[in-house]
Amino acid sequence: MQSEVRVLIGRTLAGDQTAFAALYHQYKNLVYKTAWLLLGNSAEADDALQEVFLLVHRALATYQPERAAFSTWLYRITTNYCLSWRRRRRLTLLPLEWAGQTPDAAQRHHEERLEDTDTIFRCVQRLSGKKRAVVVLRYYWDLSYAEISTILDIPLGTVKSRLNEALRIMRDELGPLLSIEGAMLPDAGREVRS
Amino acid sequence: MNCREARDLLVALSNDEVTRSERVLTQAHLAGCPACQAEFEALAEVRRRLTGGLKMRGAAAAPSPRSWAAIQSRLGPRAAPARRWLIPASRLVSGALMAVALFAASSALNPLTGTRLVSELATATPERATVQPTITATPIMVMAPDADRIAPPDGDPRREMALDRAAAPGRNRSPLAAPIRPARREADRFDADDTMAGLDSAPAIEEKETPCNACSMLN
Repeated sequence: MQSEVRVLIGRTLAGDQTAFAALYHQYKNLVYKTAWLLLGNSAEADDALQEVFLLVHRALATYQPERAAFSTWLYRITTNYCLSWRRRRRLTLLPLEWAGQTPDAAQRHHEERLEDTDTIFRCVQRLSGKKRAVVVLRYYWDLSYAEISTILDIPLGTVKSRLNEALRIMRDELGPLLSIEGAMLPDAGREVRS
Repeated sequence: MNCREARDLLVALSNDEVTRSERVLTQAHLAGCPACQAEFEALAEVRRRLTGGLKMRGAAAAPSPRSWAAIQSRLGPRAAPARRWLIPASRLVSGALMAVALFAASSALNPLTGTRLVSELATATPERATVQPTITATPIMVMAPDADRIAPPDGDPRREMALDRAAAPGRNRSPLAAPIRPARREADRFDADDTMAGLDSAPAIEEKETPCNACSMLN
């Protein structure tokens, strides 16, 4: 995989746009889904997809394959872009696509799952950007703590503490909604979000 | 291991990201502490639901089919970087010769120093080469951007020139001068400064002068 990517990078640097198109189609879901989960709506995720690939195209000559996998480099650019974008946006508004959304699935079980998913997703969006990034990289992309540490350029201990805090916040918020037993322990202590 | 130490490791334990010794110690604590065991189970359930919820949401997310076309249009035709170095040697030589010729011509035509320096250089001996040439002070009209406000007095021929220049500022601009760049947009500054920050494997983007649509958007 990596050697194939190196070939595509080399051809892109030589001016072959079809090679860059191949890179795009190979990695568009990685960038888009990460952006979508971090930003919370499809319009901004599409913008992020375009901006990230334009940055990649411009900075491709600076990518050093011996230091990190191409996907790691893309995760880093994408998370940096999305976190910076959210910092600039300031206001955290619920996307329109959530408003009044009612799952119309036939089976009750499926409806409950969708409702749960909405609740969980809203809760993730209310986390701070830093915590949201580690949550998405860990629980959506199944990356290890070490990989997350490399991508976000933070110590391993910070990855641990951010995930710890994020899950405790979610336990406190989701516990009563999702009927998670033991969620509201008297000595559990409510985490303060940063 | 006390409760505080154990709780710091509960999430890592549920993620299977603890060392062997941490696992043994934490599990030993959980076996004897119902409160920590209950919290561990609650966190494990949150992790399970969170993973399921994100996977379900993420699976449905797909980029717009128009995204690639938008990227292509913003990339535009781009010259291959490697080709920039393929300038034929003959063009380099002819360019250097032209520069020398232009310098010699401008020196010869310079009314202040040109003729004198050329004649001195032509007859220079090693002893004379140490003599510093003297340049007589001559009034020089500096065409400042606000020259129209400090134009010479009436009757002075330089006044007409100054007024002409003020009337048509673009006329004084050399065609070889660098084009005026538009001010960088706020969003573009953000792209270059924030997004690429901290990329060990991707150093800061170099500013390039080549006309490239992708780069000009970041400049």
